[in-house]
Amino acid sequence: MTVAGPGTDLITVHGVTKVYDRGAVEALRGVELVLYRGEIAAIVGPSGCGKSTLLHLLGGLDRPTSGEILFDGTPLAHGADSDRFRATRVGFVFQTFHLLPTLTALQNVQVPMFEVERSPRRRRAKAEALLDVVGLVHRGGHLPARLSVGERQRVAIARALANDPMVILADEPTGSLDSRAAAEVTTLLRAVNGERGTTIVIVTHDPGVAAAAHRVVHMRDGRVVPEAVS
Amino acid sequence: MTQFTLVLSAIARRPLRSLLTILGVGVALGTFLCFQSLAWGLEKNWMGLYRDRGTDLIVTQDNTFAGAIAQTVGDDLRRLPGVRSVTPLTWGLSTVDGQPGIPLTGWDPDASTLSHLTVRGRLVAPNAAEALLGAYVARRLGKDIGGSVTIGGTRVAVVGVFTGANVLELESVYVPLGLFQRLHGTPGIVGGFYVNVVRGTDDGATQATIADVTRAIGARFPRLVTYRTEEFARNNEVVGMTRATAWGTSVIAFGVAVLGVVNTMSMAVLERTREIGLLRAVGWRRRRILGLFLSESMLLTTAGGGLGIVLAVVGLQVLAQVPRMRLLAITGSPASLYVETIAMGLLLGLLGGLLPAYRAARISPAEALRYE
Repeated sequence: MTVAGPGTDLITVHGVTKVYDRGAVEALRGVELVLYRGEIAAIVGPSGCGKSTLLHLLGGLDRPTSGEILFDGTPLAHGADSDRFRATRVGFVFQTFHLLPTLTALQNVQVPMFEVERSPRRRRAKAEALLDVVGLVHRGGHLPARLSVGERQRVAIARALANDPMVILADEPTGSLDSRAAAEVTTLLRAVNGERGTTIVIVTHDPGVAAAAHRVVHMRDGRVVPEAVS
Repeated sequence: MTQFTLVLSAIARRPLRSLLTILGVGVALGTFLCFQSLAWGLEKNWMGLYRDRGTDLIVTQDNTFAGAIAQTVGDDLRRLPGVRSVTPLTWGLSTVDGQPGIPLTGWDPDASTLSHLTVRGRLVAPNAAEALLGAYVARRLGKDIGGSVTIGGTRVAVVGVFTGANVLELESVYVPLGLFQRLHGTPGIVGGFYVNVVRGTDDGATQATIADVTRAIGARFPRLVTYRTEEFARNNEVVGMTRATAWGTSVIAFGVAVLGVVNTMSMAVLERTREIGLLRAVGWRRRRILGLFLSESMLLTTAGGGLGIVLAVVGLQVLAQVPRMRLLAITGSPASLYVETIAMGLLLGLLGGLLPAYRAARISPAEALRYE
């Protein structure tokens, strides 16, 4: 299903390029894209087309070589402001979860809160509430190694919600999951979008995930292919 | 959960490596504490030695009693205003009954500088071939009153054994000054003089007299050096060498430990590159990442400092039981050295962890997340 994006502009990408290795690799070539507030947008395309690179730029993990990215009308922050941006505006979900292996599920969810919430008691309370949202409050005391892959990704989603972000950037969130876990995660992301209004941008190869999105953005050879609306 | 939880979990993640790092640091800091304690103990006992003898000033050619001063200089010193008594003596390490390295003091039996000793038997007679043994050296040589010892090929009668002194004295042998001079072929030569001043009405007056006498000796005998007893104890050659050895060994041990910590923390940063990427992705600032790794480094080395204290305490106790080690006058460690050891541990952690922590903080989050 693809739907023309509702809501106001949240993220605007103007002519963004990204090159590596002194120009030897052109990962992005003049990307033009608008992401709307409250939508679920899936970014699809063949491997190496620049999807993950674009996601990293949207989240301020890296800087474009040229072009501009606006977040809520303001140019994306860099340096120390970028850290603050990521702490308060963005949540990330990764294909391989990136949970800290020596921390419990409950502790992992608290990790993003250090820059925002000083009180250990409040951090813990919020983490418990988030684990409840993803249905894992009973597993909060377990290390990631004792969780199934689906549970780990749900913990990662809870972690992404730690500081009430405006947008969640998910890079192949179902890439390491079986079909049942993938479906659970997809349902969870839709629930988060529906209940909290969080914009969700998902890079995916999974047709099931793409089908759950409000809009599908196609990429090829470092560019966004013009939208097909049906 | 606090950030300290992350620090502890990171250390616990590689228990063997953490333990080896703590052990390495512990050995380094234990070495520091051991050697510094030995130097401190030696200085303390030297000071106690002169304090027990009631000596105000020590006059020598340098900061030992191994120099060569004419014994008649003592007569000139006695004539200086403010001088109450002058005791000539000389000192060196000798072989007694085949055992080398035994402190031998040639001493004027008429002087009162040994009145603090508890003597069983009697003191030696002037110029006689007699010896007074400290209780520790007597036990070590298996000698008692009525026996004899061989010093420099000369049989010398043991006429007394003393106790009630500090460990340096209890390991010593006293012979009459004349006998010492004969044994060493140095008639009329001494290593130095103990000088006591006339007592004033209060301590301030006595100190003023000490200062006056010091100046007078310096003016009359410009080639001699006059020390207050604390100065002499602090600066004497044996203490100086021990202190220099302590610092030299400690610096080397510290340097090696720093390199060990740099290696451990560099490995930790490399292994946790993706973790660092995640932390940066969720908004952790560079300085929080820096603080995380520095905290880990300093916690490891502080634990090493604690272990070093334990190793040093046990090591010193063991050394103190070895008879040949008694001359080192091992008397434990002052509280200030324990504090210094922990402080050195913190410094070691800071120095060893700074570069790896800085590099961790500079890692690009995007590259770190892609790291294989």
